[in-house]
Amino acid sequence: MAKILIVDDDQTIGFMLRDILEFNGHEVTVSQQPRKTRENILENDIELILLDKLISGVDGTDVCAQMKEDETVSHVPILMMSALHNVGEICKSAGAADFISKPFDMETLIEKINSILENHSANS
Amino acid sequence: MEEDLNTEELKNELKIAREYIEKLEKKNSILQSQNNKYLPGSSEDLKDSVIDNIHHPLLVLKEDLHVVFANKMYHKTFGSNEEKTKGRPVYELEEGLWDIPQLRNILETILPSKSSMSNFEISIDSKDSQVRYIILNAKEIKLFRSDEKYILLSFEDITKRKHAEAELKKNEQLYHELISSSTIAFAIFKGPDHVIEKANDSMIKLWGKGEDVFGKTILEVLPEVKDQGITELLDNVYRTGEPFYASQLPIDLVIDGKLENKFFDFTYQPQRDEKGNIVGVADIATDVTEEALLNQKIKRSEAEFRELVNFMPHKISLADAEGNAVFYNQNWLDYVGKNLEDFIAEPWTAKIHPDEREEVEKIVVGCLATGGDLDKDIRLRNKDGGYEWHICRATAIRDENNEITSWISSCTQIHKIKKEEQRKGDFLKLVSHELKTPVTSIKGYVQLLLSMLPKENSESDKKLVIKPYLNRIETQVERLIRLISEMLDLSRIEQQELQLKKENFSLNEQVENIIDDITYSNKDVQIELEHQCECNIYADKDRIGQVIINFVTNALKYSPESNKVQIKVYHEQPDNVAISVKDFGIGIAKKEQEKIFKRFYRVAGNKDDTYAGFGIGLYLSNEIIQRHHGKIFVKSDIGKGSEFTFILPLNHN
Repeated sequence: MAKILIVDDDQTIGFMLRDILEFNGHEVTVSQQPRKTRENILENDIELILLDKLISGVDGTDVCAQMKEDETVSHVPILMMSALHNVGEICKSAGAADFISKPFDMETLIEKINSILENHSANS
Repeated sequence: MEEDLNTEELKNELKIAREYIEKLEKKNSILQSQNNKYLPGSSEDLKDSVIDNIHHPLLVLKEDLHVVFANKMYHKTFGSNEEKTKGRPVYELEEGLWDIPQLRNILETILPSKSSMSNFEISIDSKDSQVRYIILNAKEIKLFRSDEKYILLSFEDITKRKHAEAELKKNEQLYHELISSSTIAFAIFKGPDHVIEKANDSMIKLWGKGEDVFGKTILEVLPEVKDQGITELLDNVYRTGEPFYASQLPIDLVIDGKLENKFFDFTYQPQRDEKGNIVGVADIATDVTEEALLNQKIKRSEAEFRELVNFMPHKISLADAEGNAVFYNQNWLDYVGKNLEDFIAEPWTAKIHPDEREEVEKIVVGCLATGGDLDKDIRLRNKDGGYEWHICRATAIRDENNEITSWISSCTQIHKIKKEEQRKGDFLKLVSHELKTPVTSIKGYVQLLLSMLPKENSESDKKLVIKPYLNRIETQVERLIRLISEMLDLSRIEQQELQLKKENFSLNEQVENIIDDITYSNKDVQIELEHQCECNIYADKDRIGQVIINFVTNALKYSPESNKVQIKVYHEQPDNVAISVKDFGIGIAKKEQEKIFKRFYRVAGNKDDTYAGFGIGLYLSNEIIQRHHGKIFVKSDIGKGSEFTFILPLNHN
């Protein structure tokens, strides 16, 4: 089980993701403020971030890239999500571990999260 | 020559003969120029040089009509000589050539009483059995101091002149016939008052005033032309001698009592006498009323069309068979802010947006080569340098031999429509994006709830029946998601933003995965999959998957009675791969088969059957396959089912 940060400006999506992930045994923090991502990671000892690509005018890929450049938080894997289905490559090139398009199957989401966490623990 | 003939007197008499002959010669224009020699004044060689040099045959007879003397010309003309003539009676000459009643009458009856006879025309049969015409002049000569009388007989052969005259007469008659029967009207006006001297039937008919026109002035016959400037024209030609040519000149004439608007082509030509003085005017005219009216009609019609073309909000242009512009309507000229001359001088393709120019030029070259139509959305530069969208069409105009004579093209401003379309597309994108958020949320919760239910149903769970309900919600959410995606894809296609993400993948695996997904949520469908070949392709995996899903869901949707679907993966040709999806449903009528790949087209079911969807699934599929340079088609029979197939090339980049 992991500590997961959800960054999405839509509260409903945030809550839905929190409910799913908590049901699957994770500890979840929901944020609507992408600029506070670094703070949130450090504060809550986050192990994985679910980051929306477009959050209130801020490009999620920029946030992702910033996190990857910051040594204090760059170790935390990021799973990016978007309502656009063909932006996976862009997200991955910004440093995201994986990408999932909305709307998604819960099973797929859980699989992707588990896979990232497994890989991450294996690598570290 | 007689010894006692006084040469002095003879000379005198010969002078008289010469005068006669000269008089004759003057009348004969044919011979006029040839004979202007003077008789020499010497008295010695009168016979040889004077009489012999007289150009006409000449005989001098005694009173008893015996020949005293014949000149050289006589011998030459009648093939005789001195021996055969001298001392012989005139009637015996030339085997009795002159022994004709007319000459006898002259010599024996008229001459003794009148002593001279001039210009008596006779015809004789010559040796070569041709009729010859001769003019005779005879004169009695009395010598001084002598009662002896001599007769001077001169001959003038006018056969040639006669023939020429006959020819002339024949020609003249022909000419008259020609003029009077000609459809070209002809008349001659004489004098300053333009008195009608001649007018052929056509002219008389043209005037429409009856036959009684000769000797009258033009104004007497045609009083209605008085104020139409006609007499002024005639006056001018008569005065200056300069001919006047009229082309389709309108003249109002009273024809059979009714005033008619006529049009004429005519010439007024001055007529001169032999001294060159103008004596009249010749009028050659053709009634061209029909032609002129037709011309007027054509001109009016042309003016109307020109107005029409200029009035239209479209930009209309004409080009020759080679595509060189010859005309632009006012809207075109206003749009580019140039006059016709300047705009024609430059290629219109210079006005095309640089992004489209090369492509359009290529299309135009193709159209010119094949004669095919042009139909393309093009941005054209306006006079302010801005670009506006136009739908441009061109079509060839062909003559009766199917040869292209010109091109007509129209450009219609669709800038506003294009802008509206853009906004609609943007709106659709926004809508579908916004819809995705709640749908994502619903889907997530439904799946969360499903996962919360115990995996194995116990007896108590069966009473709750939550799971099937949640499954239904999930199915409908999936459907909603598909519809939203289609809407989004549609606006992407319209804005040409549908981008392909190509990758290498196994088509067989892709098909299997899709079938698994479909059968997972539709347990009762029976899908038969046949892999006739194993095939890896380089394509957009998701998009190709979308086409396969569309084919299969359509097959199920339009097969209310059957759940059987047959899918085949095979090589249609060695260098391509095909997937066909066959159902046993309601089928599609022939006339519908072409249309089903069009946007928003849905096959109307029998009776009141309706089938859900936006009608863009096949349109999208078609777009996707086209973008992969493939082919998409359907074979179908009403009531038996349909088989949809797409073919993708394997060697295409």
